[in-house]
Amino acid sequence: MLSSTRALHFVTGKGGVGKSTVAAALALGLVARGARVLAIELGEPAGLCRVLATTPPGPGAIVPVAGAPGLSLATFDGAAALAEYLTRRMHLGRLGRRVMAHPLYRGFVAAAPGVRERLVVGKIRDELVLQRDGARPRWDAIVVDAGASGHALEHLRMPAAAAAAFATGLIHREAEVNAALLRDHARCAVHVVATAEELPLREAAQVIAALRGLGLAVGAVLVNRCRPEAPPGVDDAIARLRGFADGDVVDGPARSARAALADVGARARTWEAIQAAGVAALEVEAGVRAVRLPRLWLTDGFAQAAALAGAVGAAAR
Amino acid sequence: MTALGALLDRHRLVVCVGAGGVGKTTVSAAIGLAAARRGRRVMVLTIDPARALARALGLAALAPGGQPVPAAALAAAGLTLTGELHAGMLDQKVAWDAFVRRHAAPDAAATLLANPFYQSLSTSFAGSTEYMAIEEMCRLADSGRFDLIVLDTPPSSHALDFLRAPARLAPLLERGVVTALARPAAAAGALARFVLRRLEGVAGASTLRDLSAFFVAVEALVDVAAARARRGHELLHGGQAAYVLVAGPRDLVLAETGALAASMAAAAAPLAAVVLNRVAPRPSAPAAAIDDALAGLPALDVDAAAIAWLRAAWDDASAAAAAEAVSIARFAAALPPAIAVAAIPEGDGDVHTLRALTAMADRL
Repeated sequence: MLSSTRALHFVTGKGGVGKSTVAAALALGLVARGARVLAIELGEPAGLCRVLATTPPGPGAIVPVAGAPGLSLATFDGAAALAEYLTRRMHLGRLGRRVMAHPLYRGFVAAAPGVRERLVVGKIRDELVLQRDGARPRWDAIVVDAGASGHALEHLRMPAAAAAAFATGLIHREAEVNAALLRDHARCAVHVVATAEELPLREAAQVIAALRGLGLAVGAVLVNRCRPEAPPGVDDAIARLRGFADGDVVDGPARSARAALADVGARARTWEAIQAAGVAALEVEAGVRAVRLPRLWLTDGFAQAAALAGAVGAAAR
Repeated sequence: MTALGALLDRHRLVVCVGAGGVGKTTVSAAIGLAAARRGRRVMVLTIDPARALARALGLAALAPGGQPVPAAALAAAGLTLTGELHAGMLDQKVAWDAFVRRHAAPDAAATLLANPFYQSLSTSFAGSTEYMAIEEMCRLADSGRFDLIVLDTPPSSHALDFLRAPARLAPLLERGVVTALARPAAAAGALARFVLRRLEGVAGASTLRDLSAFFVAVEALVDVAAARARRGHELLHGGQAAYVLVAGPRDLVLAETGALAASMAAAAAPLAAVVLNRVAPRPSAPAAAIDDALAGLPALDVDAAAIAWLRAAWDDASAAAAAEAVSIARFAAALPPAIAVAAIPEGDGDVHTLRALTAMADRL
């Protein structure tokens, strides 16, 4: 079982940094510790579903993940959540279809700020708090692949924003409950993923600041695809390889191998220097310790996530 | 410049689509530069460029509506353009406010700008960046100042999101919806009253009053918005636009390119070209020769840690190239014929000079 009671994990970061792989790795890491975990993709099936399933679960369906006993997968979509919620709470009954086609209803749904997003958080809360498996909760932990930073923040900001925008009514009351869960640092955290490059690191710093502004717990800050730190002698070694290659009298495999190795080393060193400076700057600016995840080149997404599960699971507890 | 050349000469609009984080903005800028070198007057409309790229394009002090890339910057990079290169950056809040001021009477504009629903619409509403990108695109295309607009699109999780997003705003600007919510009390019929009562119960009466005020202010914009939407549709789907998918070499989207191309054709947004950005260069040397080169290093006073690091760097570069080759082969097999493919090798560090951008343009 989990040593921690933290049960609700959001994973976000800039597009292309490997968020979905990291979210899947976290889910696999928690399962490996004996937890029963639900992994949720927000919106339409995308990265997380590709990593964890061969065919994505249908809307609202919760399906077991093959090869990972204890792990289930679902997609939560705002529009579907909204339709479900309003049908239930507005007691529409048989009128449902006609109400949803009505201009008043469509205008409300289109304009009301973040209703969809807030409802998704509400649905996640329902899953976490209300779903039971006999005497105990159905899930020990829920991992949400919350999408790119801007999208994720819309969801996380919504309960508070909705409480302000909707001064009275049912939405106001429910928003408060959801906001309280998100702000409960013992139970909920947002993990931020980046790669060691300018834009992803900048976005990570912005997200961390925004999360703190919302009063949410910043969980692990994970820098994906990191190169090993270069030891002091590397630049010198590259220079020597070059000099050695240049000094070769005759062209041949030995000379071209030295030149090729020097080129590859120099490129790797350039990116490693960008990484070292960028990650250090993020750590100072945001006041965090970043966890560096290694570069892996597995072409199978599930295998890649499984290879990272231990490191991510330990970092994100 | 081979794969995309003809495409840049023929079209009025190049729309770069793709998932977030693949370098779409940088590729858009490189496409614009390539077209300007081919003699076209080009405007690159970007969404969120890296600071360094913005500086390289002369966007540090940005004028609304874009501006030419400074001649001095071009000269410093050794570039002579037969066409023109302009660049602009879309700020959705600024663009929305300008749109409202252009098209609404002054007092209606003031009311709308202060409405809480409008503020959420112009800053955080899903689809609102896309809507404004299309609005700006129409203005630029119809200004007559440019032969080609290169449109960078907002980051998305799906390549087609850009085309689908504006539809999410449609109900806000639809005559029937706007009229109903602008004067909800006048809504006729038992069903309307029922819907209104239930919405009040869920959202609260004061929210509905704010919402109603929003729709009153929006009424003035409905016809303008409908006309702009038609113009945008013409430009995007009328055969003058070329769609370029920007992807990374191991992007998960690559595995689905065949299906993607089919769905784009169905959406009247035919895929014309794919740019694979940041492809890992394949290191070429026999493993035994690399072993020898590494084995020779201790004699040159290189310590074991540095040698191990170099070995790891070589293995990493080899593994990267091998893994990407698998993804690219899978992708090529699924790609319909007649789609141009350009592969841009990963450079040393981020692209943040015109010179680096030129090197990229050369590979398109």
